[in-house]
Amino acid sequence: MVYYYPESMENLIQQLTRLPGIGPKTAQRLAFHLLSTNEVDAFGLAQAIATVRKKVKRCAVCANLTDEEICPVCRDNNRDRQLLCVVEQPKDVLMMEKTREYRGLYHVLHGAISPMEGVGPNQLTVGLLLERLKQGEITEVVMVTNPNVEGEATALYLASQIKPMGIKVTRIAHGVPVGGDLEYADEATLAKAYAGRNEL
Amino acid sequence: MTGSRLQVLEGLVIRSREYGEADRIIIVFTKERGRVSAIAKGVRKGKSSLSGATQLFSYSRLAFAFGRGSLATVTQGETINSHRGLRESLGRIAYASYISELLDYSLPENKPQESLFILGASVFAVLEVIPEEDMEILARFFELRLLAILGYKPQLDFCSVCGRGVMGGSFVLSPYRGGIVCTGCSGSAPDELLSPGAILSMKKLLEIDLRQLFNFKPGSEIKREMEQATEGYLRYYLEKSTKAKQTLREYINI
Repeated sequence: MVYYYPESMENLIQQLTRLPGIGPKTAQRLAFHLLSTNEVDAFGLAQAIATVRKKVKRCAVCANLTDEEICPVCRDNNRDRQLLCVVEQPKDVLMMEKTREYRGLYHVLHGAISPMEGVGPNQLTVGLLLERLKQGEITEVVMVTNPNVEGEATALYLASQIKPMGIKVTRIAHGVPVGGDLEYADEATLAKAYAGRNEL
Repeated sequence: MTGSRLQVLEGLVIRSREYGEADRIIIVFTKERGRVSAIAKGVRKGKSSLSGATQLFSYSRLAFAFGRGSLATVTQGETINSHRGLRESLGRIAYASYISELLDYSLPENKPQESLFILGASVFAVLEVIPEEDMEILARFFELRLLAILGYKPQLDFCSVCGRGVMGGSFVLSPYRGGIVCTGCSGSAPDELLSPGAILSMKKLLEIDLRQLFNFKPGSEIKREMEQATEGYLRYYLEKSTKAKQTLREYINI
């Protein structure tokens, strides 16, 4: 009889193969590692997965990921509650927070409008956003979507919906990256950087 | 890289999808090789020189390394025309997406399609500058010319079954028959009807020069009839319906 791994091991390898970027060989290596590593680490991982799946959900106000009904950012009274940043993904909130420049609120769309992939506003949290804006507290919405076709389409679509409500809609500037080289900036970026130039 | 071959090609980026952490998989419509699928590595990191050249709708000069697999690798690139205007209004994004999708579906991999390339490139260039109200007629022009180049040009002179002339009543466009069929022969639902005016307009779009296109202004009813007819016709021959049209119909009038 040909030897196979024990069934439970085979199952673990199968489960790991489903993760993005992990093929059968990597899955096998990870499974062996989980078996040989100390128990605390292995159970810690299992526990962490179980907890995150049970606890993390979308904030009822901004749709960002949170452990609670309403996330800490939405509850924070020290923030500028008239200013709202619209981002595509939860990780973009983190990036904005890292700037330490922005002290307003957020709204996470969980994607971007992509006509070619068949993603429209209904698949995003646009409804929640528009409802929130109707309450009238927010006076400016900043579009912090990616500077690609999907991000532009999303920003343009949202602007067309939000502007009639009398709320100011702005878009982050596009430009040459810090530490980059002009030689490698393409014409579209450079043109936008020029249009948005500042006085020294 | 052993066994790989480097080739510099100019083309339109008709599809661009994020892949992995910082890569992008693109489909480029090139003059010399037709549809080329390729991976551009690291382009979503801010400092990559390829990020502009591999953006959706850009017309770029790209260096491809063709290996054994079906996916080439983009090694260098520069933008020739970024078609910036196409990304600055929702309507233009919608039509450019629609045209890209049709091109994507109708091109075989790695086979030159020069006349289609010229059509695609010129329609893209024009779409960037025309007033938004002219975009619809441009889309109809593109659909019919695409069908003609692919060898599916509809026969619009007489009923494909009984031979009745265009002026003799109402017709429908039947992909199965490869042309118009009079209502007596088809027995179709009345909302798909093509009036003689719509048939003549479609014939005109199949002949007209792109430079003259915008002097031609058919009424909204004729435009609606043409849109319905070409949609079914394209779906039959491409064996797919475009997502762009479905998605965008929900919130702007394409």
